[in-house]
Amino acid sequence: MKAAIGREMTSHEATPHEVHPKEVMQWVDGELPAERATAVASHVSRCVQCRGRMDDLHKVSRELASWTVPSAEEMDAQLEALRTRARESGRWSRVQSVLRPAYMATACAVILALTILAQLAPSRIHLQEPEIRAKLKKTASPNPPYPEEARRNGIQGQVRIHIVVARDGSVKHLRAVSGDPILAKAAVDGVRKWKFEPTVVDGKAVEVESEVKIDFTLSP
Amino acid sequence: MKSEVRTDEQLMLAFANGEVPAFDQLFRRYWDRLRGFFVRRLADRGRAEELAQDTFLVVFRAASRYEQRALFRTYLYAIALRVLRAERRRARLRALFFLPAGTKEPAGACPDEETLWIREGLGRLGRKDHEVLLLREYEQLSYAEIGALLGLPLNTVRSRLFRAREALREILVSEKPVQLSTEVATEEERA
Repeated sequence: MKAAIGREMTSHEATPHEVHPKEVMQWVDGELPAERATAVASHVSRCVQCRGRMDDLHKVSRELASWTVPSAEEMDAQLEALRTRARESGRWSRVQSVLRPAYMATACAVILALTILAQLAPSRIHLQEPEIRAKLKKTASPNPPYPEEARRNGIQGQVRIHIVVARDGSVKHLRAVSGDPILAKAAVDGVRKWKFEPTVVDGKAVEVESEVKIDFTLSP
Repeated sequence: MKSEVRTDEQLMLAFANGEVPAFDQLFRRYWDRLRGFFVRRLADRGRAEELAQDTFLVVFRAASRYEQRALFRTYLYAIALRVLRAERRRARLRALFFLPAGTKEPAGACPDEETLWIREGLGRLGRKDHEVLLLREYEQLSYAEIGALLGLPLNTVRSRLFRAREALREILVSEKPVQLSTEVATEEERA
């Protein structure tokens, strides 16, 4: 085979010839127009050199064809895996479409605008204790009664209460943050009854949150 | 009863119009060929199969945009070449930042000497000539299809193919190991 593949091909190119070696290749590949293919076929049948070239091309192709890749036995499994991936990628592409830059930019712009609006017209503000106490109506009792049980047991101390005041000045929400449980209950019960002057920002009543401290001290 | 066999292009258009079984037929027609396409070009056989799947996945997902401007197989191999180039880019990037990934030689199918011989021969061709030769010899594409896929004029395809075959013939002629021992023994037995 070695000698057969090697013969004649190179010496051929130096010789003036009616058919170019590339044309022989094109003819072997079926790439020549019909009329030219007929002429080349006729020439090859008479020309030993070109027949040798044709044989060489066939041999090279046969050599290459010996590198085979066996058929896949698991084709159905591959097809099923592909279908699964197609379904999953379909879902992912829908997610991606939502995450497209244009949509993301619009969403960010909307969030930013809402944030700015919220800052411009706050629905709830935070006040320090002296400020919130200043709004306490005169009718409200500033000091919750001292619980009797605490007094008996000598319990005293401070209770801190987080408080949210509604727009109308009533206590909307409150919870004890720290302090003795007996004192805290008394403090929460007392503060719940407090009434404040409504807080107005830019002509609009807003909720107020704050922290107030109630001191329970026994007299010596 | 005579059943009608549809062309690749008819099947693809049918799938694009919602006929899912048409895709299954295309898959069965081309799975082995596409797998072979990647196995002959990549070192990792498992990865080659994944990329063949990736190629079909692109066909699946892009079906609604399919237009019959070329043969389906040209369309399919165009996608496969894009997938392959992307894989090679990733491999180059990995090699840049991490350890190079093992052998560069294609995985092939049979690790016998005959196949190794062919692979080594092909590996010694220039990259451009190599691809043209593979597309012609294994994918059996026409010169025009190869030109369309690689963006080359027909004359360039022809020249590269000619050069590749000449080079390969030289390699096969000068270096192929010939198993003479068996033949000699047979001659002796005859004598």
